[in-house]
Amino acid sequence: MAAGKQIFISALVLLGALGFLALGYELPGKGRDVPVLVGWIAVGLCVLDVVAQTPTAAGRWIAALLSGSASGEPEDEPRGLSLELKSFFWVLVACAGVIVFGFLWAVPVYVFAYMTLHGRKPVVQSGLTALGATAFLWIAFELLLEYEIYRGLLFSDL
Amino acid sequence: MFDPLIDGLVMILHWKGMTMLALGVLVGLVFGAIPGLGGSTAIALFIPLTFDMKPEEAMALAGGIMGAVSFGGSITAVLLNTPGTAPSAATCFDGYPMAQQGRAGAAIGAAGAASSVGGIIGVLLLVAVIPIAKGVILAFGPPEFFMLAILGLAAIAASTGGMFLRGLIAGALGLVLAFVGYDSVSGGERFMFGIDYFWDGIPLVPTLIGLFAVGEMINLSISGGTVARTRELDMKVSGAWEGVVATFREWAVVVRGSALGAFIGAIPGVGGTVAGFLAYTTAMHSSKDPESFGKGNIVGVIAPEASNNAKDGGALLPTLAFGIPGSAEMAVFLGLLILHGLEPGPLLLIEHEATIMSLIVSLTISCIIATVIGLLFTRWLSLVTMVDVHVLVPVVVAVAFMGSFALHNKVGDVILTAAFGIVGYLMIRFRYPRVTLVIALVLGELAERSFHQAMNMTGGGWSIFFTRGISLGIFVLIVVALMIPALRFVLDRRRRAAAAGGRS
Repeated sequence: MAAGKQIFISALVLLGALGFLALGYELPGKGRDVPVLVGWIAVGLCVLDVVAQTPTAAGRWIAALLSGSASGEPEDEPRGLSLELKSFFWVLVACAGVIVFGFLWAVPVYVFAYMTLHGRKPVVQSGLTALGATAFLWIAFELLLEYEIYRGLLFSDL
Repeated sequence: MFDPLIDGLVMILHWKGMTMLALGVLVGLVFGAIPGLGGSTAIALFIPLTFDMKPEEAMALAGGIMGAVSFGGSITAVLLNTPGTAPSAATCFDGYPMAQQGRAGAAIGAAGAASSVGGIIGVLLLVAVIPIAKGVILAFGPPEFFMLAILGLAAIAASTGGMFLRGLIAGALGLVLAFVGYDSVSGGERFMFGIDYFWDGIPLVPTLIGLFAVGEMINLSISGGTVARTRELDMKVSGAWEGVVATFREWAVVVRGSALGAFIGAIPGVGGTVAGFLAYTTAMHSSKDPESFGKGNIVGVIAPEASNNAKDGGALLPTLAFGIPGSAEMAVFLGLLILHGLEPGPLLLIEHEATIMSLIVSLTISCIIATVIGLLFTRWLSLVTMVDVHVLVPVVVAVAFMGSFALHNKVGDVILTAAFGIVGYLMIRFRYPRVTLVIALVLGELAERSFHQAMNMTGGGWSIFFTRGISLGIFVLIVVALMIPALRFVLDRRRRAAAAGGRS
C-alpha cells in the first residue's frame, strides 16, 4: 500500500485520539481520570504510528522495532476503492432495508439483489437462495424460538 | 472436586443439552472448515439464538462449537492445503503431503483422534487447575485486577505479529468505546452525544457480530471467488482407522502436544497457532527421523492437532477465573457468559461452578462427537469451502442482522452491527487487530472500576500498584510483554546478520 495512504490513515486515527482527549477533559470529576489517561496514551501511540509510516530513518526504525521484524511491516495486497465502497453500500442497503421494510421483506430482496447485481449469479440460484435464507430465519426465529420477527417501520402496525 | 463435574454432566445429559451440543458441533465443523469464519464468528452469530435458553444449554452450544472448530479447520488443511482456522496451519505441513500420497483418510483419522485426546487432556488439566485458581483469585484485589486487565491487553497486542503498535492503538480504541454511557463513578453520562441508545454503553454482542461476522463478510465480498481458492478435491478419503491407531501408538507425542497446548492456551494472546507450530517443531526435533517431516509423516499431524484442541481448556482458565479473554474466540464467549448473567471474574467459579462444569463437559463430549461426525462427513465438509462467497455473504449478513436485532428488539443494534461491520473491515484492511479492540471493550469496565477502587484504597496514590507482591509481579509481566516485539526485532536482526555472514 502507498506510504501516503498509510500516513493519511494514521493521521486520521491521531486526529480521532486528539478529539477524544479534548472531549475527555470536558468530563466532570473522577469520571475523566481514566479517559484522559487513555487519551494521552492513545495520542502517544498514534504519533509513533504516524512517524512509523514516514519514509524516514526514524520511521523505518520504529516500524521495524515495533513490528518485531528487521524487514519492517509487510506490504498488503492492493484493493479497489470502488469495490470496497460497493461492499459497504450493500451492507448499508441491507441495514436500511431491514429497518424500513422488516426482515421478511428486506432479506429476500437483499439476498436476491446482492447475488444477481453484485455477484452476477443466475436468477434462479439467487431466487432460491433468497427464499431459503428467509425461510431459515422464519423457521429458526419465529417457529422454533417463538420470536416475532421485526416487521419494519412501514409494516409495524400490520 | 468431582461433585460439580457430575452436576455439570447431569445438566448436559438432557435431550435439550445434547441437541444443543450436537448443533454446536455441526456449526463448529462447518465454520471451522471455512477459512475466515472460525469459532469467533460462529459463536458471535449464534449468541442471539441462546437468548431464551438456560445457561447450561447455551454452554452446550458454545462448548460444541469450540470443541469442533479446530477439527473442521484441520479437514480442509489436510484435503485442500487450506487451514480453515489459523491454528490448523501446522497440520498442512504433513497432512497435505499425506493426502497427495493417497493417505488423506489416515491423516484425517489421526487429526480427529489427536484432537479428541488433546481436547480431553486439556479439559482434565483445566479441571485439575480450577481448585488452585479459586484460591489464587481470592488473593486478588483491585490493584491486581487493574494490572491483570492491562496485562491482558499488552499480551494480546504483543502477540499480533507485526501489528503490535496498531494492536495497542486498537486496544485504546476499545477502551474509548468502553467509556461510552452512564458512568457509575461520576454519576454522569460520557461520550453519548445525546443518544439515549448508548446509556448502557456500547452493547457487546452487536459489536462482536459486526466486527467479526459482518466485517469478515465485507472482506470476503471484496476478495470474491470461492472461500478455499482451489477446485482440487478429487482424492479418496479412506483408511481413517490407520490414523486413529497411529495416534494411540504415538501417545507420548499426544501427551506432550496436549500439555504444550493447554499451557500456551492459558497465556493470553499467545493462542493456538503458536501452540500448533511449537508442538510440531518439538515433535520434529524429538523424532528419530526429522527429515521425513514435511513429506507426510503422520506424527506431524498428530502433534499440532493434540495441542490445537488442548489449548481450549487452557484458554478457558484466564477467561473464566479472571474475566481476561486470551483470544477473539474467548472474548466472544465472554459476551455469551455476560448475556446469561454469568459475570466473568472472581465469583464465577464459586457461584456458578455447576454451569461452568457443564461447559467443560460439553467441551469434552464435543471433542469426541466432532471427530465422529467429521470422519463421517469429511468430503461434505470440504465441499463447504467451495461455496461461492457471493452466496455466502448476503446470507450471513442477513442472519447477523437478525441475530443482532433479536437480542434486545432494538433497531439501534442493527445499525451498530452494520457500523462495526465496516469498522471491522477497515481494521482488517489497515492492519488494526480487531481482537485487541474487543478485549479492551470487554476489560474496560473492569479496568476502570479496579483503578478507582485501588486509588480509593490509598487516597489517590499510585504506589499501591507497585507495593503489593502480585500486582508488582503482574507489572513486571506487562513490561516483558511490551518488550517482546523489540526482543523479536533484535533476534531477527541477529539471525539475518548471521545468515548474511554465512553466505559471504
